[in-house]
Amino acid sequence: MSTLFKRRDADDIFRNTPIFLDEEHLLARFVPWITGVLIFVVLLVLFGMMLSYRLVTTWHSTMEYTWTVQIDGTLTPDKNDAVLKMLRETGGITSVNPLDKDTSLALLKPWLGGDLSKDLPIPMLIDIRLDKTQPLDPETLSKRLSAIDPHVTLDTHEQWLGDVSALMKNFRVLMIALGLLLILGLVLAITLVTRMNFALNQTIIATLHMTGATDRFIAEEFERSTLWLTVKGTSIGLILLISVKVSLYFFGRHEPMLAGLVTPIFPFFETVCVIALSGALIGLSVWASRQTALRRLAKIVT
Amino acid sequence: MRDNAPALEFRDVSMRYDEGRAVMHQVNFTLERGTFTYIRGRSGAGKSTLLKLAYHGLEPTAGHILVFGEDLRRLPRARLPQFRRNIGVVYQDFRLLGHLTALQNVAMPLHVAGVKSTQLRADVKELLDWVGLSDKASQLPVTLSGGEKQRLAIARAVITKPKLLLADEPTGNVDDKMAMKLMYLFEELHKMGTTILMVTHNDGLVERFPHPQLMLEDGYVHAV
Repeated sequence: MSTLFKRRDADDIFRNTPIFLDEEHLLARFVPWITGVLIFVVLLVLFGMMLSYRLVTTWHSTMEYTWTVQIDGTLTPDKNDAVLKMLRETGGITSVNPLDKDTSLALLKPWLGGDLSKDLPIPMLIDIRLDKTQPLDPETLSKRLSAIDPHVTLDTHEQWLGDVSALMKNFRVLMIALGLLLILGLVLAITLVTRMNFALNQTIIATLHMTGATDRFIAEEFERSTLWLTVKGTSIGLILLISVKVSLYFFGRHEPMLAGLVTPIFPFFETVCVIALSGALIGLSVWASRQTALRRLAKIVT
Repeated sequence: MRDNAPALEFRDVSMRYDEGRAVMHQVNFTLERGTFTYIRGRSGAGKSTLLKLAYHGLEPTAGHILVFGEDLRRLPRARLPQFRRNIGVVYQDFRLLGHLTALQNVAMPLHVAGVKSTQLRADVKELLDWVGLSDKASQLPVTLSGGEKQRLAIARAVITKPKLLLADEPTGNVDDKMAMKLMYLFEELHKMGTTILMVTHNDGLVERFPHPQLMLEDGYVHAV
């Protein structure tokens, strides 16, 4: 009795050996890397889209109940006090926090530089937090502030958030287009690889035909080879994606604007989406391979 | 496939490769079921072409080829796999699949026919024993000698118990001792009822194992 019969308990003796995949061949060594990089970029696009969505949602939820009152720097202190008093007495506002001059200067530093004169009329900024259960009409508050002085203005961040949302929407459309283009690239790459594999294995195909193999059987073997290669490729793509996420986590966790976005590293929904897309890409590659093989096989006369 | 039809019939078969010279001119012969026939002739006489025509690896330029009463010209492509499962072919160049083991190579015709692995394993083991290669089951063809490859190719050709066996110089790459062993294998298959058509150059074997011969000369076939 041969050692193979003793050693192998697996029922299917062809289970781990796709007929059209010679592990030593150049195709078997490079195709996983090519598909891996393509799949990685597609997953990165998906990740980018979800990140942008989370970014806008986070900013919206943070700023929806945070408004800023701006008082012209030339106004007298009693006007400032009047504004503060009015805000503190208004229902629906949970906290009124005037920023000190140093904090305001620090905010202006990126635009005006660090060498600002202390005499420069810096506007006074008041950060107000709203009660979520007691909605406040921004127009009414704005009118009441203007009544104290026309140079007192209310910023609800609506304009800024609107601009950011529109920008992110365009970004997502661009990402979808890029993602579709990359998926097309993946399908074309798989088609090309299958055609190359087909040309390389003409003798094997002829031999299989002579042993009574159907076109369907041969196409399924090409499918199996592609499955083998793309599963390897997807693993490479996922490892690259995880590396990016871990890097973002380490670099982004100290950035206040990003901190909420990089933790946790593997949010449930994103992880499910990435796994689902990976599966779909493998399925698409396998389908493309089968169709290509069937088209080529149909051209063989005998 | 008709029950009482001859195993192989060539009716006015002519063959010409593209615009080249004609390899066969209106060849006619019939092989009855259960016969063992040699095909002989000089190199380039068209012996391998005749076998390729018989297993429908080539389409004749003219004429009809009938295998078990089935006209290959009229055989739809969808029925070819089923048709070919009744024919075993031993190629001159073995055509073993290089990255598959000896076991997998022999099992291939059963695998393509959808035979379950449990059943397949027993048949392959028995056949590898029969050709004396049971200890080489896990080896790749590249590690086998010429004679072992030839025996493996024969094992693959007969694993499905074909009704017709076409063998192209099956003893061409082995020494005389091995050639004798292989011939005993073919004789055994013949006794089991397999129709055998074998191309050979080996006069010694033909004398030792006498069977009817077809001589291919200048594109014509005649019985010897």
